[in-house]
Amino acid sequence: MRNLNRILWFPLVALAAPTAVLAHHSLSGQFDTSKSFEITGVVSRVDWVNPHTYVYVDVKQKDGSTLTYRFESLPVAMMRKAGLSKQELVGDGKPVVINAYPARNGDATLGYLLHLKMADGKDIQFSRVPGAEQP
Amino acid sequence: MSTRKFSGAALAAGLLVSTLAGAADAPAMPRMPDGKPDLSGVWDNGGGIDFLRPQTKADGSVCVTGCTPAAPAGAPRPAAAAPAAAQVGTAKPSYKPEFQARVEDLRKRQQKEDPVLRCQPPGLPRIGPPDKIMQSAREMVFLYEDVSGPFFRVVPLREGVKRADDSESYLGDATGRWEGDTLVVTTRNFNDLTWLTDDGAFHTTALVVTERLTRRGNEIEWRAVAEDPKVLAEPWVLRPRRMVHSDVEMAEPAPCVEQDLSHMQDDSFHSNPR
Repeated sequence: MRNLNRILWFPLVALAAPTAVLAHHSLSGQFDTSKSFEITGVVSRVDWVNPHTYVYVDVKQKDGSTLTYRFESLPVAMMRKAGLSKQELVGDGKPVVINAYPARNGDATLGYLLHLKMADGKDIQFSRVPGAEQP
Repeated sequence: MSTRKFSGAALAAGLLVSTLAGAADAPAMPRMPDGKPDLSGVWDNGGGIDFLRPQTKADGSVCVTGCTPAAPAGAPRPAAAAPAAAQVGTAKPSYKPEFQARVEDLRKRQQKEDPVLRCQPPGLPRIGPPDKIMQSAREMVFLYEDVSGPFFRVVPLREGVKRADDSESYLGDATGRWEGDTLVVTTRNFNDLTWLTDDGAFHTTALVVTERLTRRGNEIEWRAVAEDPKVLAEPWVLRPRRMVHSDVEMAEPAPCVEQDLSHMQDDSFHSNPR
């Protein structure tokens, strides 16, 4: 509804360009959109901001330490239009499975959020996983 | 009565009935106590994401983009450009020949130059139609939920209003007036720090933007013209936008906190003229 007007800015290469609002850097300029990776962890923080939300996920390492991944995602207006809220992404502290595009800058803890699957089986598809069958 | 006359009379009667029926179907125009059209409320203008068709499954799963199958037939379509006026206006302004190279240069380097990519105010007319309108006999207040953050504009319905600061600004100084049932908002005194739209569409402080808001039933048609005779070859007539009345109240707009540009590995971009 709103001006992502301003739109707005979602560099989603898989999407047809919207007719309004947003200028923007391309998603492929940041991420390798031909690949994806998967991790399991607990959502520790959500930045409910524009131009893109960010979801932080803590992943337990074999040595017992915690590594925090950071995933760029959709603008707030697109989240709201899909009926999603910050609280929903924060979840209940149970492990979630994340699929994401890897970053091109070599930062292994940075990605673009494609899927977030919750412990109860509920799945949020933000964008299509490369090569995946459609649900 | 001849057959021809009867047919003509029947056609005229049919048209009259059809017209009356159409008028009866059209929602009544809400009006303020002063008789002016009531433009107040929350208005869905598509916001640049009218293409989005999220899907929700029975188990609560959500698909936001890349869904298969596509949106089910008959799903309500959000607001979009006014179809009746689809041929009016253009997506981008036309510049004088001596400024076209500058626009092209800015277009190519927009990832580094576009103020909106750095959470700066979008300016007019780039910000588009308001998301909410508050109205009185003396003024209108436009509220915006923009990707660059929350914005508002106070539009006095009278000339000569004293403002706390008369400096050039991102959204300019607006004054409104009624032309029949159309609200006409003229805005000037802009700074030159915004773009008219994507793709390097710079402007000068000579910019004047005129918006026309016309309510028809539960919709408002928003039209805008940007004039900057210093750099534009002609006034830029934007494509009209349609605003649809919404019962969903505005939420607090999210702040704009840029965190992406440091990750960019090249200057690639895509444009989305508003």
